[in-house]
Amino acid sequence: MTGLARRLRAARVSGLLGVAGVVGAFAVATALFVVPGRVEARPWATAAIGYVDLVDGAAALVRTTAPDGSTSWQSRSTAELPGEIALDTLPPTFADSVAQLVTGDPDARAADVGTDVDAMRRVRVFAVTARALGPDGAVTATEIMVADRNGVAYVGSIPTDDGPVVAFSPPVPLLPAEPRAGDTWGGAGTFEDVEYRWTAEVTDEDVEYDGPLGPTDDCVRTVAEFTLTHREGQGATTSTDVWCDGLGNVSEDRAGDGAGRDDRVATLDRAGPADLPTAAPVDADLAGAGPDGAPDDWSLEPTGPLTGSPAIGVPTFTPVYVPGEQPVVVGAVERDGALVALGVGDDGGGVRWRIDTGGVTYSRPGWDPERQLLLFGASDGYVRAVDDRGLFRWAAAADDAVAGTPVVAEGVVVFGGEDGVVRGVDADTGDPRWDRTVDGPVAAGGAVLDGRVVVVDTSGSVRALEPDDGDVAWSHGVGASVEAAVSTVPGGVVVADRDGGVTRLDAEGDVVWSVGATGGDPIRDEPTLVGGQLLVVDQAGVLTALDLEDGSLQWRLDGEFRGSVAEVDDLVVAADGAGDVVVLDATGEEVARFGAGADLDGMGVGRSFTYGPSVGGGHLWVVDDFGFVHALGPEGTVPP
Amino acid sequence: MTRGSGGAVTEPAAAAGPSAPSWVREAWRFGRDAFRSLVEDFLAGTLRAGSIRLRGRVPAVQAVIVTTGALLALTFVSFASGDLFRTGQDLLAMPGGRAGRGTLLPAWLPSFTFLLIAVGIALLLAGALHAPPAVRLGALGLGVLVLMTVLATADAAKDLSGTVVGPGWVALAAVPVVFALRWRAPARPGPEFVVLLLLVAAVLGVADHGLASADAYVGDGFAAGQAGLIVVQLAAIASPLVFVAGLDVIAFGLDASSWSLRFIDRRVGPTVVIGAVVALGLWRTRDTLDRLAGEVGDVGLVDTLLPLLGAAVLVGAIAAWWAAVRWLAGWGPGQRAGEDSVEHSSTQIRLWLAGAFSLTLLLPVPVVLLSQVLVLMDWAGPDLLARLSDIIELLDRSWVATANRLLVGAALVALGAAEARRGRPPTALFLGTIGLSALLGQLFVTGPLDALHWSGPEAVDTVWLAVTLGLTGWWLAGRRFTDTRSARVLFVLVLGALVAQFDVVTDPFRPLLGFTGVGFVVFGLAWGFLTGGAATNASTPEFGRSARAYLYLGYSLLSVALLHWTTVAHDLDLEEGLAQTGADGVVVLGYPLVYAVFALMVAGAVADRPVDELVGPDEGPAAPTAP
Repeated sequence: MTGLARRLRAARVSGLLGVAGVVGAFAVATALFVVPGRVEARPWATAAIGYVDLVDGAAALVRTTAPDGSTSWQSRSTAELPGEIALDTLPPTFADSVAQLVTGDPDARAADVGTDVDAMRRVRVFAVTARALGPDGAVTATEIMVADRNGVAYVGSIPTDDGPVVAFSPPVPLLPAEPRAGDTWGGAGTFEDVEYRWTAEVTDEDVEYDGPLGPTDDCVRTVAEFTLTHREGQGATTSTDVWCDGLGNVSEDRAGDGAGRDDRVATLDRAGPADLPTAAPVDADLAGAGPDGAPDDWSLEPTGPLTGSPAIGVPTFTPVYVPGEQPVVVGAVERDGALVALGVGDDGGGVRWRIDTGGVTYSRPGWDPERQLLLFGASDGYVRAVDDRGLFRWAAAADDAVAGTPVVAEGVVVFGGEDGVVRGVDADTGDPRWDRTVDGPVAAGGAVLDGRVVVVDTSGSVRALEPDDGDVAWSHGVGASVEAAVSTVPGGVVVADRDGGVTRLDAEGDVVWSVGATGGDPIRDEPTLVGGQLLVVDQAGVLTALDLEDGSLQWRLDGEFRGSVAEVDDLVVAADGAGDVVVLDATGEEVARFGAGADLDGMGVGRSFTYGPSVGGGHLWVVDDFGFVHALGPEGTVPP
Repeated sequence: MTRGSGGAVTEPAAAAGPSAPSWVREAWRFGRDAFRSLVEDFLAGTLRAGSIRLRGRVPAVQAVIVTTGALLALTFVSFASGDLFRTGQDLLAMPGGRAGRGTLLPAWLPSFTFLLIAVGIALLLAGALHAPPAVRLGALGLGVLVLMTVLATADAAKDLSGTVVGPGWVALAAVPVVFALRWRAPARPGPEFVVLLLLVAAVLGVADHGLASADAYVGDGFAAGQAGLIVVQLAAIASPLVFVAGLDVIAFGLDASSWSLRFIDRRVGPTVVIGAVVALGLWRTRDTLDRLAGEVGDVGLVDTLLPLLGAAVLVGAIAAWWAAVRWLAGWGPGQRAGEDSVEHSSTQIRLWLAGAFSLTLLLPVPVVLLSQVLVLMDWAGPDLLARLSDIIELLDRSWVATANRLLVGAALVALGAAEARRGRPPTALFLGTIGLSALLGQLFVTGPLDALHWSGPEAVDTVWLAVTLGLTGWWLAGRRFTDTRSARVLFVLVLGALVAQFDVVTDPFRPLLGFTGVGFVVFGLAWGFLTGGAATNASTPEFGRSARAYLYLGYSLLSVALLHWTTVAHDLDLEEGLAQTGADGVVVLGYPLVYAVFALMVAGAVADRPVDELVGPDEGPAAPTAP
């Protein structure tokens, strides 16, 4: 071999090594971000978690049939609690039970775990909020379940009201990690002064289930015996359960004490016929009723926190009053993302019920008065329907977050997602009817105009869709992104855009007028019709009044106004960033001002508002930036 | 593009069939030739001239370029497809997201962005390692500061994440050590990049893991929020590239006009060209008169004419500047080679120009990063932090941006004069036109001259149109409208129409992009990246090819990664900020480039000088052509 050939070969080898080094470095770099990053390295108990349907945001409606044939209902929604939340917010007995699972020490206490982040990675804690509708009305409790390498265990339940806390020590094992026919397990322990004993067996696997949720074949059947011994006596229940992957405990037959049968009739992705007793009819007028009397006689009072705990939370939309037998105001905060209902009726305040989502609820709920359903979307891509008693009814899926308010027309619920698709689903069952791709992500709610649904997207398109098939009746482009919900006005709609433009369209989509209302500052909240004027708040905090007929400027107020304004007897009610609710007359003159309080529990932090007020139940409702709901109305009538 | 310089060989059209009428066969041949020319001359030719060349580089560097190119392509696909990789994914809600909508990220986005930032910073560092000392120190300082910010954020959250960040600090400390060891050593671009990539990836990988773990424990989008904060702070780094993207869209129009003119030159006879000039001239005149009539109706005659007067002042200033440049360069009357290569002159300096105009956006970045590191690590007292905050506030004031624009404008005129003296009139014309546009634009928004202020390209375009059509009429009347003049006039009319219909270039991409406003920026970025890499093919002893390629790729990747974040997150506020920066780039750099080209084309037409053949940016001016 000549020297030249050797050099050439050496150069080739060197080149190949160089290429290999570069490719290897890229591979290592990629692995550093892919492997330990956001990929959840907890692959254990996935089968059991699937059979129990422990998914953040899962929901179900369960029908219970008693031996005498009477039925009751239970609505369930699931949230996964991060480690810090689980240890900090659960009652001490529950936190201790979690600590026992984490450490494997039956005598461990939560304090022993402390802030041991690694230890808390050994478990996944789920809170299932259950709301039962029985003969005596509704009660709410939160059941805590924990998944670890051994399977899923039931820790106990925490009632919302004054009922007893049931905390099993140690937790009751529900399912082993990978259930197989012939598996048996059991346990014994106490809660309060009651002793329990539990034995269970997987009798069948690959069970074919065909119940109210439709057919599925990835199920297991278990038979379990649960014995309770108390100083006053003993009770025993034998239950035969079918657990299906992704659907949960689809049926449970109980014999002995508490005999009866449970059937799941709705989950996030499937909904069967639900013959729930009809909710008591509500006074539809009450839904949009503002306070009576002169503003001088009103007062602004805190109603309660949406977090249901001392923790503060940033709200995600204006509170909505929901009429019903037990009226509530619903809202949500960013931290846990659930839709939370605060009682505002004679039966007291506090959190009446909550529906957890797998993300954050940014969508201000819409109200279907015919079915008495609340409809709201969340960042997990689902629109959920909940009745005014807080019972989950059905869910419909999108491929991205749903931030706009769903609307109902002709028995069809219409909503748009950030995936740029508008969907129509059956208002009774959530079954998909049609979908239509629009020009960009949908970030705002639509409106019903002459039986059609007007939707907007962030490409600036406005479309009127036929609710029965989604066909486009007309369309119009406003030339700028639209993030504000559509407002209805007599004979048409008004659309506000991010360039500060406001466009009034008639029922056929023709432009009545179009004006630049703000000098360029974006408008992200829907205009409100007050008398003959449209009130618009832009992102600079300026409140502008436009004439409804020709869009001409009537008056303008600089300030820190936030969100849409509300209308009460031709008065304008606005909230501002300084924590005040301001009442203005039709000329923009200030009539009254109410402060939400300059201090938050002595922390020296001033309250402020990001969203405007809403009306309902004879009051105005507004949520401050710490997640506290306030009510504005005649003094002495403000709910607790 | 001398008339008759290249005749296309055409074959009888088989597809049209033997019995097809002759005009069908002719139309078929014309269409086929047009398509072939579009692909071969315009697309392939432009890309060939402007892309980073692999040939002649060592295999390791080739691998770096190819792999980074693949990463960039993947990011562009994700970027341009809007939601292709977002739909159906788990979404993280960033704390304090937009009211009523939230700011939602696909769960994979923070880690993917950190990976892109890691590769981008590694390329910048590896490129700077053998660049001029100022570039070395600047890149090292910025890179280390970015890495420190991310790592300090993860360090501050370690109690919540339970992760160990020590290895990250060790890897970070090794980066300046590598610089010190390799400062005077001969360049080994392959191994140096490998080492730096592993170190940088280790720093950001540790931080990413820590932030994600903290997120899982706290459960409120903490990590996404922190990552988003860092991205927002770094987004200003991308501003020069976005600024240039505006110019690149205009450059695309310029390239398209050049190609169409060359094709017409080859395939169309003089009579047809004159017919096209007349038709286009009439159409553009009618269009302009309609627009002016509308303006008169809206704002009145005086307020319509005064901005036109302002635009005429600018056109006059550019004409005077071109005369001055020729005088400074010592050029006498008659033709000179290469003066039509002004567009290619612009590609060499555009990023520097964008950086100069974006200075008030760029300067706060290191100050903000430094402040954050000092706060997170508890390394500074309130006095120092207050002083840094004052600096950030100062740079954010509008008069500082105005002053910067005026200073840069004046500096560019001075620099243009110097370039003219060095015998580079096209570059001098481009620099001077930008400078004059910036100075006059600013002058006409102040005091009594406010009435002369014009916005958008319409007013200046109207003046150029009037000048061009006036000269055309004069030449036609005097039977002096030669082939050369007709070609130049046609070019001005076509380019003017393209610029006037700016959205036409980007609108076809709108359905694909799925979002508004920022579409032209994405298009400009892609076109700019594919055609702007020629500078990396040159080499000097102080600044080698590998270093240039690394710096170019690193900056592109870093910028695109940050832009990608904003679009995948559906962050309209940031998207609109990007669109505005891109639009500023169009106004500050893009339109002046067009005006410079107009000036040269019209001047060439007056002199009745044929247009130079199109040349590659690194090939120098073309040989003189016979008059």
